[in-house]
Amino acid sequence: MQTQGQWSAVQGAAVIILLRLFPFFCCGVPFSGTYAKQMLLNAIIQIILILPMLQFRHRLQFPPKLLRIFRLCAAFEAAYLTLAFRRLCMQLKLQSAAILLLTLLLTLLYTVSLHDRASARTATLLLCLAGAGFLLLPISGVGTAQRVLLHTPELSRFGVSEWANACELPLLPLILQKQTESAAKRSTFAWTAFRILFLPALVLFGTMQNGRLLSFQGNPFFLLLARTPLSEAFRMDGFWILLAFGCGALCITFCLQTAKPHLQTSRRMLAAAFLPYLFFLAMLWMLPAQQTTISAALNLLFGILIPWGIILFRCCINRRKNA
Amino acid sequence: MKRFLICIFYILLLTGCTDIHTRLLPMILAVDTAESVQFAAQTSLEAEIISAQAETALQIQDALRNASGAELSTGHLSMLAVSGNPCGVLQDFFQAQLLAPTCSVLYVPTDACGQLKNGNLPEPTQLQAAVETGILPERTADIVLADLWGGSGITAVCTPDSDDLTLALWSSEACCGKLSADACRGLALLGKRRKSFVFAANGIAYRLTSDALQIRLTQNDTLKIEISGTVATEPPLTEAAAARLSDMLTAALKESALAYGADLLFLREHAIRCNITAARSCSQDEWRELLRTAECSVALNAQISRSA
Repeated sequence: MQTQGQWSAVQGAAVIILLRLFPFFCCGVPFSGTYAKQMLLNAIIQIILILPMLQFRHRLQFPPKLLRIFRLCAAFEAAYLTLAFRRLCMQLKLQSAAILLLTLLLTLLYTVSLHDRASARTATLLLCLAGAGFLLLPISGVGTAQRVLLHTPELSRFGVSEWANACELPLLPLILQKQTESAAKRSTFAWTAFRILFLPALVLFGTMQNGRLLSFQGNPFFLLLARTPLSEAFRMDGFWILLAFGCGALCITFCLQTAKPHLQTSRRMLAAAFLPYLFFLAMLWMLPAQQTTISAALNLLFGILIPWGIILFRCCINRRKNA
Repeated sequence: MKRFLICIFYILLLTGCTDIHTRLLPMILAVDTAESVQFAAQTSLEAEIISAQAETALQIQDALRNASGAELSTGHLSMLAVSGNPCGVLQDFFQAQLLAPTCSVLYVPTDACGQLKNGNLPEPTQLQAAVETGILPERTADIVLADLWGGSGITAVCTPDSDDLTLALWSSEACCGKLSADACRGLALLGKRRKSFVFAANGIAYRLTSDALQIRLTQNDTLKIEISGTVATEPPLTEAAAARLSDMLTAALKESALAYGADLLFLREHAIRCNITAARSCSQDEWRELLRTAECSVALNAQISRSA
């Protein structure tokens, strides 16, 4: 039974899915059959490691010291997503990228002070909009899709990007705890379907359109949109740009809300979230080549290894007590 | 209520409205890279053509801004006409996102800017009509670059040829040759974008009503490209009409793949699908050589001919 303050299945699913969708929008890896295969393989590995965690959801209550580290990880994710936001601006050759980033930071000051249910509600709305947009995509692109392009030769260039972009992994245990058991199960099921069915299918569809344009240096998703206009007079780029930036602002907000501890004054709370965020932002800014590796390692550590470590540790203690 | 009004105010700022006179929205853009780079832009708003000059093609925005006083916005560009090396200009513009992928591209052998000023260039609607009636395959910016980057490094660009339109084959540096009208029709027949396809054989006009053509590649000693499948026409296909279609398809293969090693029909992808391992790992130059030494055959379904 859902109580006041708990998230519904749709809200949870929306936040988890958007946390993965936004890095996908910003990812510069060209669409190809090999990329879709790698994406599917990594998604299966991640899901196999995550799904059994649902059985032990009640044992995933983090001790306060560990929770503090998880909050730092959320601040790191916010910094990583902010740089992805900047990368998207650069890929789209937006002239006012600096102004957009400044506006984002000002927006965050307000949105982070809100309760995280505001993020959950907004995520639901954004996911509905994205769903409507995705429904139109095959309609506009079906005439130009070439199935044979799935065989375009390509050297794999993406490495650990699938782990780096899985920003939802470290936040998943925290999100699932905001839900009832049945809602958590349904959210995880929606996320699983999104990762295994939807994203690889979208990449395959993009490959059937962009297959030979692997040398394009811009954003592959927005190239797909530009190549598949609904008609000569009606293009969807503007809608998707707004949606992508909306998703970005929401995901960063949610990460910072998670990074925010419960303190007495709101100023302190904001400072506790923003200071590590700005530190990680500066750190990642100075280490552009290592961004992907660091993010992948943290996602693996905080999304899978530490939660499983806690579960196994508690199982051992329980057994000893019973013995 | 106050918050709501503030939101409305900010939403008004996000509408993207701008003074139309501060924007240069060309319908046709001509670029001449023969000596110094020259630009000419024809807009739907102004009768006169705006000309400018620069050292490189990528300086187009500043050059046209200085010439017109307005900021260049190529979102509504219907056709890009290039003299000199169209592949170089196209790559520069595409990577700089100055060009919509669906913009038509025309190669003009000399003085594209002068020809635009004199009204000698074909209209974008003419190009569109040629594609829709199956005279030419679609060669928009994205398709031209896809064949250049992903095929064998040779692409085809539409070009005026006396009163007609044809395709010029281009590597990244030089023009290799031109295709005949039959070869262009053969490529259009294998393409997807045509809306109708009418051809004549023995004085009778045939309209293609449906087709299911397939490309297969095999490799023993040499590479073999085979086009086969069924076609239905109105009136029903005769042997003479089938032979006419075969001629077009054969010309398309011989004049592009076999003569110059151009891969305009996703031959490499078809080869990988047909388990030809050399196609997966070879370089563009090696793939071009393989295509040049290939054999080709066209076999339209005999059942249709007999039933006809």
